[in-house]
Amino acid sequence: MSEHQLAHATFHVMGDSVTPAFWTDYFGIKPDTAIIRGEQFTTPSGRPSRAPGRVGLWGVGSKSFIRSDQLEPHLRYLIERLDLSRPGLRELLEREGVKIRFWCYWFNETGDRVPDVPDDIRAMMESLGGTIEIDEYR
Amino acid sequence: MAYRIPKDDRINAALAQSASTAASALADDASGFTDTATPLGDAQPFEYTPDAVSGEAEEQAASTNNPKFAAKMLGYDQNTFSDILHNFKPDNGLGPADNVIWHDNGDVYFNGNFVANFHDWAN
Repeated sequence: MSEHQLAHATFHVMGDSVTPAFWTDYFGIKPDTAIIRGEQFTTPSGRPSRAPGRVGLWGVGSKSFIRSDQLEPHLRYLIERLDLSRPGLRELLEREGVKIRFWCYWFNETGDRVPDVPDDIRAMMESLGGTIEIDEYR
Repeated sequence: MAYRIPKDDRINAALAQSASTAASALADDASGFTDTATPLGDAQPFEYTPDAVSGEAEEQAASTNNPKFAAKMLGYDQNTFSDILHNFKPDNGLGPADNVIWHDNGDVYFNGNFVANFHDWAN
């Protein structure tokens, strides 16, 4: 496998009402991304954002922990780390007025790579009212 | 003053009459537009700022909506650029297919609005 990973995934909690500290406590994980809508935030460079957050976002990625050019290992890692099968999660998301998604990086320069998202993971996200989005690069 | 139209000029005169009638009709139509158009008196006057466009051509910012060109313009290899863009999009409320424009100073625009500076997402 090359140094540049051809696939990885990030779990997002999204919505105008997202309070990152709440989700950090809930999942017990320090996020890679924490943005409050309307407030300045720290960008990946370490510099403050030049505009207030346009979205509320809490995100944890798999890239630093999983080495695979396929999506499945990344998605399964996030499901286990965040314990997404925990009871009451869907109700909590609805109560908080937020959505979840897997935001998937998919590098496909050759054009012949097909994203691998297993059916059980699709079903799980659907049961939580979440989505899986493939962000493809060629 | 009355004057005679030379025989050879009658056709031209008829055409001139026809054109005049058409112009008059257009003028009537145009006058109808003024009844429904927004009065210009409500518009704010533009402020003349002579320095705003005084730069040389080479000082004008280059821009592109092509990610491969943008990567080269901003000094990133393709892999690094796509990694940065993958984080840049959700952090700024953009979807996978949203077509942004990169300027050579790193500023990114979407639908004509400033989004953020791309270099701020490099780490």
